[in-house]
Order: sequence, then structure tokens, then C-alpha cells
Amino acid sequence: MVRVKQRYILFSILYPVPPNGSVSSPIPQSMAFHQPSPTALTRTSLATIIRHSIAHNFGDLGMGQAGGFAVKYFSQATSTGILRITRENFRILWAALTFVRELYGQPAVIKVVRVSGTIRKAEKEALKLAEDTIRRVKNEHKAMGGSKSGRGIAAIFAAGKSGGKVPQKATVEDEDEDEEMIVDIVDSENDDDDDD
Amino acid sequence: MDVDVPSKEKVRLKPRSPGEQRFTVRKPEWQHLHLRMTFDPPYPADHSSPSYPPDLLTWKTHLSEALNQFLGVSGMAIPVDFLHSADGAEVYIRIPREDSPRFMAGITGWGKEVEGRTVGFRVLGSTEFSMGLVGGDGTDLFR
Repeated sequence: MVRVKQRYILFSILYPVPPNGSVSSPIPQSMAFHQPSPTALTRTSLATIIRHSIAHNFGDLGMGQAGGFAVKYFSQATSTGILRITRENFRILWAALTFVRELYGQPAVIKVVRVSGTIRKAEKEALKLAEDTIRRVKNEHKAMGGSKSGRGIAAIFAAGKSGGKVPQKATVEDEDEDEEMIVDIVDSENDDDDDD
Repeated sequence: MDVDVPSKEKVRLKPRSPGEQRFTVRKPEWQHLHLRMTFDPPYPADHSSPSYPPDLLTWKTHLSEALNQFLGVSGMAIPVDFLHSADGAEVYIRIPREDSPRFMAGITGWGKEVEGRTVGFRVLGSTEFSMGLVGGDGTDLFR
């Protein structure tokens, strides 16, 4: 019996155009493209959008090859997520992601950050990504001579305040020194049935 | 393009004329197909109307539709060169060789109802060189 090999695709959604009529405080430059996702964008609706993209670009054959992917994780706050797909077909899914041009009428680019053989590695990369982002924002804030540290980050996550449950929280404790990340990525090897 | 350099023994056994070179075309750029558009129920042999025999635009429309269904936009992006149309119902086309398996799978698995007849495609011939479709061994080229 041969095990079915999988690939886990870690992606992040970039929004080149800021959402209109929002965000009172200016967004740090390094976060300009990293907006929170619309509240309507959930794991299931994202799967539908990606499936449409596959069907449009690769037809029935593509749907047969890559239609069986699963959205293992998606965070609206950080606009990152993890997809699972069989190893032979991950390039089709990748291409379909690249061809997505807008989400809910908002111009968007889905960037594949990492392709990994285990979900653990993908999670690690997601954590690193979030940590890097926070570090970058802090540095930028410091460089601009801001005394109210943590304000910029608060603004970013305030902009993403959404009604829905946000599975990934990045909380920054106090000042620069002791920052702590609470990220609960659901490693759901057993909940395959909830996606399709 | 690989140049087939003759081994030393061969040269000794059968000397080549000076300047003679041999090469094998291993991966040709094109695949040539001979297609027929099928109608069910079929048109009478001498039937002639605006919808039969189909013109090249009809061919292009139907091929695109078949490819769009099976392969999506990436299938419609396969460039099709119409080389010759025998009598409308049959054409000779040329497509990139790498696309030919997908192309053939896409068009042969397609069918559509047009004016009460099911339209489909049949691949009558597929070869990397157009001579394979036209017939003949091509020796007359070298005479």
C-alpha cells in the first residue's frame, strides 16, 4: 500500500489597493499590501473562489486533477492560509491561485509563500512570517521616531476587527522586549470531511 | 537537434562522401492532425446549406468550445493553424506537439447539439510531420 503524498501550500493574500473608507491612522509602509481580508472570506468561500479559478483556467481536466484540495487553515486577520493538495497536482492549484485577481470586488493577489510536504513546516513558515511582519512594523515605527510603541500594530489589527472568529491572534505584550505570539493553527488531519 | 556522429567502424566499412552529415530530429515543434467533423444523424452526401459543409470559422468555434470545456482558458490558448480544408468536413491542422495529447483528449470527448444534430470530432490522423498526413513516402523530394 502506497501512501498518498500531499503538498501543503502556504499562501498570503496581498491587497494592492487599500479598502476605501477605512483606517483612521496611517498604515505602516511595510503593511501597505497586507490588509485583513473581507469578513465574507471564509475557508469555504475561499475554496469556492479557488475552485472557480481552476474550472475557468483548466477546465474539467483541471477540476478532476486539482479540485480535491482542502483549505486546512485560513486567517482573515493576517490573510494567510494553508491548502492541501496531492503532490502531482500542486502546480495546477498554484497556477489557479496566481490567476485569482480579485476577491469580493477588491483587487487581490494570492502569493504562494511556501510549498511543503508536511503541514508542520507550513505552520512554522506561517509563524515566521507573522513574527517577521511584527518585527518589521516595530522597526519601522522605531525608525519613524514613534514613542507610542505598539500603536501601529494595534492599528493594523483594529482595521481587521471582524465579526467572525479570528483563529490567529498575534498579541504584543508591552514593549519591544517580551513579545509573545499566540497562534493556534488547527492541524486537522482528521477533519477532512468538513471542506467539501 | 542531435547530430548523429557515425562511429569509427561504420566509417571504415562504408566511407561517406565528404561533407555528408546525418541528424535525427528528435523533438519536432509541431504535431499535424487530420480531423473530421461528424454529424449524427449525418448529412446526405451531396447536402449543401449554410451549416454544411462547415467553414473554417465554424471549425474554430467548435474546437474552441471543446477545448474550453475540457481544458479551460489554458486549452483555448493552444494555437491551431489550419493548413488545409479538404471539403469542409475534414481539415488538416497543426498544433504544438506538447499540446497534442491534451488537445486530442479535449476535442474527441466533446459533443454538442446543433440544429438537431450532434456535432463531434474524429481524429483521422496524427503525425509529427505533415508528410504523414498527406501520404507518400516523400522520396520524390530527393530526386
